[in-house]
Amino acid sequence: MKLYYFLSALVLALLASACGDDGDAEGTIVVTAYGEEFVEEGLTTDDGWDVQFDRFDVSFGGVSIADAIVTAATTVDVAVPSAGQGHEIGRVTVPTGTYDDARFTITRVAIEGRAQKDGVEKRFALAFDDAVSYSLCETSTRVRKGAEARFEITIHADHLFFDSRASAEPNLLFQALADADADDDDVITEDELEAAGLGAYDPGSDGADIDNLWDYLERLITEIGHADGEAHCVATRIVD
Amino acid sequence: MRTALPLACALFLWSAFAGCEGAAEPSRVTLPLRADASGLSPAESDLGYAVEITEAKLSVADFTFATPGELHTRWLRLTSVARAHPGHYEGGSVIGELRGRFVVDFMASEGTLGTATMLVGTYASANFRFETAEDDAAPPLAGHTALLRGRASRDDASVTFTFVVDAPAMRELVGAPFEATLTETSGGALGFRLLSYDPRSDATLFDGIDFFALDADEAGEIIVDPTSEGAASEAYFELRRRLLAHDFYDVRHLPEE
Repeated sequence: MKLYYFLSALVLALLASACGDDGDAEGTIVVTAYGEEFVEEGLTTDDGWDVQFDRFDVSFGGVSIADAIVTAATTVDVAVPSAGQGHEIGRVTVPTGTYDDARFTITRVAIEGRAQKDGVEKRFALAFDDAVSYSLCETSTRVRKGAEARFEITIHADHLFFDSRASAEPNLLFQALADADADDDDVITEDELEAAGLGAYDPGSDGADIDNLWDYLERLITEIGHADGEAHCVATRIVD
Repeated sequence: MRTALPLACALFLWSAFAGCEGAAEPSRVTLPLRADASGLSPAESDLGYAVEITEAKLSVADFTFATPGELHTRWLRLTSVARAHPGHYEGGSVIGELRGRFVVDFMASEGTLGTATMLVGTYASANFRFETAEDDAAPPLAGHTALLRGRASRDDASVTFTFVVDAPAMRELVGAPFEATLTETSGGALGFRLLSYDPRSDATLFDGIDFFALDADEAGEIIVDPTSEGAASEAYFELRRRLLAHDFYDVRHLPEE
């Protein structure tokens, strides 16, 4: 009999805990943007190009969590080393509880960098202006009384080099981008990428209309926003 | 009684908290899924070729059928939800399926693939996985994913074509249109179509392919496969991109006649 009461109490306690609120108690959520080591330290693609980012500016149009606005608009260069901590973009004081309502909008991504292989260096400076709203992220943020919790907007920059939008394990490639440098001046431009075919790249089930590398990159850039590392969010392109 | 009551209350609350996962299982209906050739009408490509498909075969596996809305991982005893990455959220909850590997012969008069198990409800999309046909499949499909044969004509001239296509390993197609509401009394069949023309984007399967340019020896016959090079390779990937896109497939509920 005691066991039944114990189990019942345990279940009810779990329920109460999950619901989260602790009266008028409050805590803080610190929101950061982190580009991972791919951006901060560079990466080596599967086809042997060493890629370094000099700049990886992510412009946020608005970030909110726990029904509170963290920041209206800000731009963060996630290429600046952060020792794995990311860059704080705002903080809010909210009632204790567990929150899964984080939303953020990325309005622009501007990148500048270089890739090297076998003594060849290709430079790039590209800007992507498609605004994308991220919501329903598959993560939650637990706020305890008087404590700091973190919500991280994680930028998956390595996705820019995926050779497939459909594969669970795409290759990380740069050669096609290097080959797009049609005038061979070692600078890869938007126009050159627009003129370059996709070759063996797989733009995905919804990619029938993607037939050049610029359009492909534009689509990839709308999928770089994640939360707390690997958590996915629903990404919705905002059409003007 | 005194001991049972608190536990019952707790379990009730737990059930409610968990989203009523323990609720009665929804009704289901079984329907045959068959190849449907009605989507392969002759179509004019963007380069002005009248393209007629005479043979269309596709190696696929594991059909699933989903509700409208974003992808969620609630339910299911019937099946699990596969998640595309990074092509996120291209469908709702999976509530129907037909598991197994199939070589779909779209032009065959009898093309029943199997019996799909479907929950009663409203559907919006279908998904499946591209496969490689086993070696015992008829050549040239054996060892490949798709075979398309036909004739392309323009200005009183024509060529016959054969395209043999390989899909990337484990490549899933997500989000083919499947708009239907199924009830316990739904009969008929489900028709799986490959579309030569996508009215939503006003594009054809063979857009961008300059058939005459590929007929370098002017023999009136072109063969394009994964080993093709140069312009033929570009044509191969052009067609493959569309064959791997949900624009060129759909599933229809075909009520009993």
